[in-house]
Amino acid sequence: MAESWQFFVVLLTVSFGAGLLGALLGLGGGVILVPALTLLLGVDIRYAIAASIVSVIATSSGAAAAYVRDGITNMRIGMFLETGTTAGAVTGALVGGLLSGRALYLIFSVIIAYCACAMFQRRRQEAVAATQGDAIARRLRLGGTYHDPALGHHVEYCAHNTLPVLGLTYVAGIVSGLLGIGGGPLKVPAMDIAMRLPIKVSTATSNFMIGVTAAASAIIYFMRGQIHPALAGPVAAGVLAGALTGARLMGRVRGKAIRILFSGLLAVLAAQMLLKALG
Amino acid sequence: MAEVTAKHPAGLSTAQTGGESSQRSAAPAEQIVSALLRYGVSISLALVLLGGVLLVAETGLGESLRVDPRVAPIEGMAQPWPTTIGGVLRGALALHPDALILLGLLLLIATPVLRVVVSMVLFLAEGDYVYVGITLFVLAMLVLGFFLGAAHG
Repeated sequence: MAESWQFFVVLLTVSFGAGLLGALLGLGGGVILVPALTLLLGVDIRYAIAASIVSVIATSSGAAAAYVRDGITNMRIGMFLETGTTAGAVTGALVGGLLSGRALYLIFSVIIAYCACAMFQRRRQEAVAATQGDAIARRLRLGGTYHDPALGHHVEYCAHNTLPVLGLTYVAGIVSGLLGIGGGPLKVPAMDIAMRLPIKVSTATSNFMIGVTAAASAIIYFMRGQIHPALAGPVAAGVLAGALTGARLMGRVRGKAIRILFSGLLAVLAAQMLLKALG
Repeated sequence: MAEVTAKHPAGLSTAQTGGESSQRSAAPAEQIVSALLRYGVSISLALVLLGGVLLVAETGLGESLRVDPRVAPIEGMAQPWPTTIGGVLRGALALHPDALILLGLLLLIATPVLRVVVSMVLFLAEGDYVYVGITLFVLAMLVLGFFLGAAHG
């Protein structure tokens, strides 16, 4: 691989793109990075998955540094839902063997397709009307205000359906390892559709959360020697540059554009999972 | 009480709008977490770049360029780069390119976990014990997840 500098150019470009899109959509970029590394560059899946986990953390911390400072990330909602994702990940590790198979792909293909439609329908809802949220959200103060430069005013919000969404993030934590998708494609729609948060708060808070869940598996990949320095190093650098660029763009981008982009990505994901379900 | 929090759903997320008492104490928390993430990311990026430059400069120490990532790793065979934290630290002190890159990546991996620890301290300082409990639960799950994953190795 040392002889092909093209390999590194493609690697850096793909990583930059994954970081940029991941920062805007609240995803780790694994959806883009793993297929790009394996199909485009022919990287072995073990190295690709480890590099992708590192990229999830790079996107998360790189983007979250900016979003937390700008007040877009809701750290309370993030911490609250992390109880669901981390507990789900532990459950997934325990019962993983019992839940595999095509039925799981089929079920989640349908769920993700539904999310794609629901997010597309919500695309025009830029500002959420200031509502009271539910009792638990008020008790745990799962709300806030942020300034949206693209809209030119402050947006106030409070979470709805707090407990059902906590349940959803728990399920997302269980299945994400089994389906080979990160939590982002399930967490962002849950926060957008059910919690009725502004889309930028949903993606920024998802970004904040995904790094934590990925950290435990990243250390395990490191100990197994799957984090290839000459591969994961450039990936991390490219993803960080992309995530920082994406975080800068976030202010100017309309919520509508983020929702349309996200629902398009979900549609592709739903189709991929349907293909896996059908074998 | 519920009425007040509903009208002003203030919390750690409202750094932009000043004026309310709970928000004055909230803004520094966001600055601290943001600074932690920024420093974590910057230092790890600097280490990865330094290691990368030394790797490309072919000082003779970097082995990972000779391991083709397109070829599956052989089961049970040790990689030419360190796979323990101690090994990475020793290698990085000797300016070993692979170890420097891995030290940067390990710092990157540690950053979100440090963020959870720091949030817990901040919630504790605010006297917000519900969130101290929530944060402790997340930390416990992370540790449990790590050991389960390591055991399945």
